[in-house]
Amino acid sequence: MARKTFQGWLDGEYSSPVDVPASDVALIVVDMQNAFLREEYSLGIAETQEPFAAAIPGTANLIAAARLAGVPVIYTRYAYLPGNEDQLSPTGRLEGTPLTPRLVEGTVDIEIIDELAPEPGDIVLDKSRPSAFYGTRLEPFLTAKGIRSVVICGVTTNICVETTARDASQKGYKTFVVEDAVGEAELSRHWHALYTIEFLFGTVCTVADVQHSWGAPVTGVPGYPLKRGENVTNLAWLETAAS
Amino acid sequence: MERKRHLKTFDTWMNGTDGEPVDVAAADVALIVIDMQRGFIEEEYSLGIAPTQEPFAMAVPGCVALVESAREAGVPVIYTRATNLYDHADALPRRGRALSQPETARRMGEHSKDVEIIDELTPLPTEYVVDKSRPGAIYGTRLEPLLVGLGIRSVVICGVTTNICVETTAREAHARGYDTYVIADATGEAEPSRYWHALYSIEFLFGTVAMVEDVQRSWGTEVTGVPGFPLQRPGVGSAALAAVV
Repeated sequence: MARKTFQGWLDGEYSSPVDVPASDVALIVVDMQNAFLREEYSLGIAETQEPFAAAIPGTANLIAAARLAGVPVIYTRYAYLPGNEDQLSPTGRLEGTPLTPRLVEGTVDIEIIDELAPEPGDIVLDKSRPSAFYGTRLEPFLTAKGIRSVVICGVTTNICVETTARDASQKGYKTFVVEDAVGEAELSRHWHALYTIEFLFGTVCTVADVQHSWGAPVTGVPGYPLKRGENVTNLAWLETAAS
Repeated sequence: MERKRHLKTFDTWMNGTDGEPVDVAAADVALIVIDMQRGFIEEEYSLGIAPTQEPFAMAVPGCVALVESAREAGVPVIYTRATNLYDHADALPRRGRALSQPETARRMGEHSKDVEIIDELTPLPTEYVVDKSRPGAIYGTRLEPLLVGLGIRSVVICGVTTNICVETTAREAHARGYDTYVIADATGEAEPSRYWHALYSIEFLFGTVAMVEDVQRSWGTEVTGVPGFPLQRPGVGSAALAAVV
């Protein structure tokens, strides 16, 4: 087998359709919150919210497929305690700068966006760190339900999605990250994060792969512009007549 | 817009922002040398994940300088080794697209030559060696009990590979509240774009990217930097130091 390279992958290697487990599996929707996805609550980590908003249609499709297939849906929220006691102090080049309270429990920032509102029976987990595993009840839930595979989507690809995927992989979960249902501020970071996952930590798949594997109608994400081997640099949403 | 002025981007970082000298913790700190093993560093034991061992071997001089500095400053040195138990009992089963590929040779088995730390970095009897089954040095190892036992609250990380084991360990350390430093000229990765994106990810959120000379200065030891280290951002590290001195 040829050695994997970032460029080869970006050119389309390892993009064949892949089966995603349909049993003992959960969907983890990472941080699809007002703070990341709504202009008026921007955290100021992207030029616009567009790169993060790109994750919304794919995530909505995954949630629909999961509900149809009876796959548990777990939402994570990046949320600090009301007094921000669990936020890390600035260090290194930011040492001495004051903490800015944000992502505070109980504020509108940390709520899941309306389009993806959790339903009764869904699990919503608040976390203080990028990884959904660290300091949360995610693993107690997964082990209680006998879940051995996770399908991850949401934001941001390079930070919370990737950290969660690294942790899931280390813990032995079969880990799938859905490339047309995640978003990152900069495309080079988006692609490097996904490549890192395919290199070692898990499998990069598409919404269509998940829909197919879970027996849901295969729609993919109509109009989603990024595709390895074709277009990896222009996120401008294509005007297509979605069927 | 004020917030736009502070927007971090990969491009501006590559051009030198957040590249100024930075103080590295000098108390309650440990040096963690990741996976500087024959399996990664020496041609004859190559794991086949880089075209040559050069990109990994470039971490050697910086790691040697950091270990010397730590020993002189009395900073504990902890070496990690990627290895698997007998018969690879702790290795993860293949999955995803690898299922349709021929099985690759098993490497890094315990007690094999692959697993040994390279001669240049031979641990002293008073130093610590932590074996790990996964990329992160904290998951499933005695590293965190050791750090807590020693009262360590800051970690300085070097070794290989930047994007996989070094970065995963930095993400783990950050989550647990350790003040985390990754030393750019003491790590190595198979591809430069992955090297730079890994370091940028760390500076973006998980820790501080510093240079060997930052550590040497902060720990009160001779400041040599790593002359000739091949990957440099403009105005960062030895180049900038030479201009100032």
